[in-house]
Amino acid sequence: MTIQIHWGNWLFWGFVASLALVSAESIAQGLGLTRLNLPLILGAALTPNRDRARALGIALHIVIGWLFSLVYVVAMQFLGGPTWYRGALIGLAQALFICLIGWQALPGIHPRMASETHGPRSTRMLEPPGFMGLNYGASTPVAVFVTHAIFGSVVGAFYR
Amino acid sequence: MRYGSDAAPPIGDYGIIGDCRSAALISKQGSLDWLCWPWFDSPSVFGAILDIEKGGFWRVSPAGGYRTKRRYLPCTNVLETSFTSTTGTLRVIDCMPVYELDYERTHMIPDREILRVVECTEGEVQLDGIFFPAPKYGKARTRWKQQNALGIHVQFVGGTLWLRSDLEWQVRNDHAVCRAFLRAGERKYCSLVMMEHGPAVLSPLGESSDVALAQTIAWWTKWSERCEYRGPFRNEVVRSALALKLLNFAPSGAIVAASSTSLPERVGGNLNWDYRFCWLRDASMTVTALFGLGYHDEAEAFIDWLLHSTNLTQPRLLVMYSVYGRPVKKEKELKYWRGYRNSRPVRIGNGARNQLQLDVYGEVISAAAQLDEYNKSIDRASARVLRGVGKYVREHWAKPDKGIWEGRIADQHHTHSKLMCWVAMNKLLQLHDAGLLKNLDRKLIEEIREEIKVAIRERAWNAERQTYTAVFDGVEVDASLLLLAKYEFEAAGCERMRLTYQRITEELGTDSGLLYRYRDKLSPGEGAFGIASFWLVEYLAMGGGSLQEAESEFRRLLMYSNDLGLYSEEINPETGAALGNFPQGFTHVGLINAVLSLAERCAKEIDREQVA
Repeated sequence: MTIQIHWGNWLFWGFVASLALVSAESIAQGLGLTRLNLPLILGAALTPNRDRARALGIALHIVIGWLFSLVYVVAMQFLGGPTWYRGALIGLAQALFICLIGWQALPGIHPRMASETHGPRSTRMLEPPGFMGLNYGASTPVAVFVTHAIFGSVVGAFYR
Repeated sequence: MRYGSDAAPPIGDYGIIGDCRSAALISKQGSLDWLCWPWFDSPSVFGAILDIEKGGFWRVSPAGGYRTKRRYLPCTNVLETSFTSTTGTLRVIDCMPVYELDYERTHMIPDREILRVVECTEGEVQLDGIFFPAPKYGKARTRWKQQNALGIHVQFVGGTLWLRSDLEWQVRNDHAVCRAFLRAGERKYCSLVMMEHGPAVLSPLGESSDVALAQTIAWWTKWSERCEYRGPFRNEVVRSALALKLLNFAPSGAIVAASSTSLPERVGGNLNWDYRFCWLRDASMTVTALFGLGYHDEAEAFIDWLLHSTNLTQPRLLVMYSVYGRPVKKEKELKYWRGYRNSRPVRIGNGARNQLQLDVYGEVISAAAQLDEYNKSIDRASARVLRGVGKYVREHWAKPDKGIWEGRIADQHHTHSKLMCWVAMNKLLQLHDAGLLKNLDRKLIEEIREEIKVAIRERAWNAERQTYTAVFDGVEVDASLLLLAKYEFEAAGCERMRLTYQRITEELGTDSGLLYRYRDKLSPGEGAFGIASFWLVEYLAMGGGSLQEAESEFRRLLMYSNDLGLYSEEINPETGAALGNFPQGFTHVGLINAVLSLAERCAKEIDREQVA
């Protein structure tokens, strides 16, 4: 099977999907559904200054989302072509991976995140997400699933 | 949860700590009984001061009997409480860490933290701790989890709390307890952090907590050293400035009236109001105090907040705003809370928010006019706001209003409101003449100023009783009439002011030298009004009496602070007990301005002596 990428299309809709993801996460946080703040977590890996971390993190999150949308594009071609529901399905799969594995592994990777085993240290003080991200609120897994489904749907619905 | 006594301690038994965003009240018993997080006007996390059963508290003290001695570490808002029991002495240092900007930029620090450092300084002490948070005014359902090395995690809808400590806290249903035995030299740490939206930043304790404490002490000490006042009563002035700074909401520059709600003006009564907002009324006097002490940054930030955060409602100004300049929420009663010593209702939000109080316009313009006195400039946007507010005063000064005391009765023509309208016109002219305010119809403003002056002199003067009165064509006096001299409407030593002063002291004075704000028809049983007593000192210092009289009155008032130098809104004249919300920024502003007036009078007398 040959994989064809329409680069212009991907660049545009991947960016839009990434913006939609960041916005949806921000709305979920604003509504009090979760304390998960991915821009802060990503940015805090680069700087301890939280204001700067948030700003850097937003840019980083958009770029990572953008790149990830390429994975979605490729995966959808394998699944029979881009549609909104295939995109959403891939989004749910990614969310499942994040919740089950990503959050658990994060304290080991993140240079400023405390771990449940060792507690916080002077350089690692950020609260870890815990199993399924539940430390950030009981609705965190739901928020992760929904926002990633939105991300996948946007890529699937508009990328041609 | 068992609080440990049948009622909350006397209001004056509390000390305050804060981080210029929120503040906590801690009793002499080491019980943190009031804290709203993350902001001053957020729902409470601890509220035992208003309901010992359901409010929530965090106590750290020795088991059994003890004597308490406490103080603030010099020139700081770091509270130190020493408990001496029969077996030893336990010292608890409480603070909400604040950091230098450079440190904040290079270190990850918790958004909100309360740090309690517990140290046995002598003998051995059995420590008895209870941690019982009750978020959202006691309404939130909490989920507790002991999470290994991370500490105790308390989750609720809308936020999360992490309690970390090297003392052993055991989770029991909706609270945690700690029973520990400390020997001389042992030092332990408790850190409570809260996060509303993002992931929390947790404190590692030990050395990190010592750094946080040292940073906090250094921050407050540096801030105190900026106080340029070097005359008599400096300690009291610095303490008042520190109390005021605690009520300053750093992100916006706003200053809240107090960090508490519903502490009663009459214990057991219903005069319980929410003061966790910014009253425009306090503006001019607060700015005078800040500029007078050399805190120009804070004064300018406050003026900036006054002129720009209120732009949602301009040219109409509301009586009070939230720290971000939003209208205050509608008043609600927390019926499920019993109130401080059964003083119901407990109110959140403030019903006076929509009242027409004309004096606030004069306060705002008068505050801004002080920029001229300190050679600061006024930008175009601010000038536009001032002109707009001035126009509103021109068009509305003749209306009746609720007045300075915010009585929930029919509108009246309050003398103080008219005075402040006169001040508004006067200060606009001052700014215009100084070249700071252009495009002003000078003639019209002058005419209005004169009209107001004539109205006050004719209708607020009761020839029969030989006194100015609280309302036009009235009979009664109130303490705000002393401000006629402060705002230079009348000379302090003139006949009318002298007679009014006499009437005020006769009718509103107490045996203990305090002053009620008005005759108690409106609210029988309430205490003497803190700032009114300081106005009296100012009046005397400004020429209404001798320097000695003013100073002696002032010394008498110093006896009514608590052991930490803090004042509430009101004072029970019989017992000297603090009443009302605590500590009250306005009372501390009164103290500072009284000392500044005393110093000015003193300087004048020295000059006069030298000339002679």
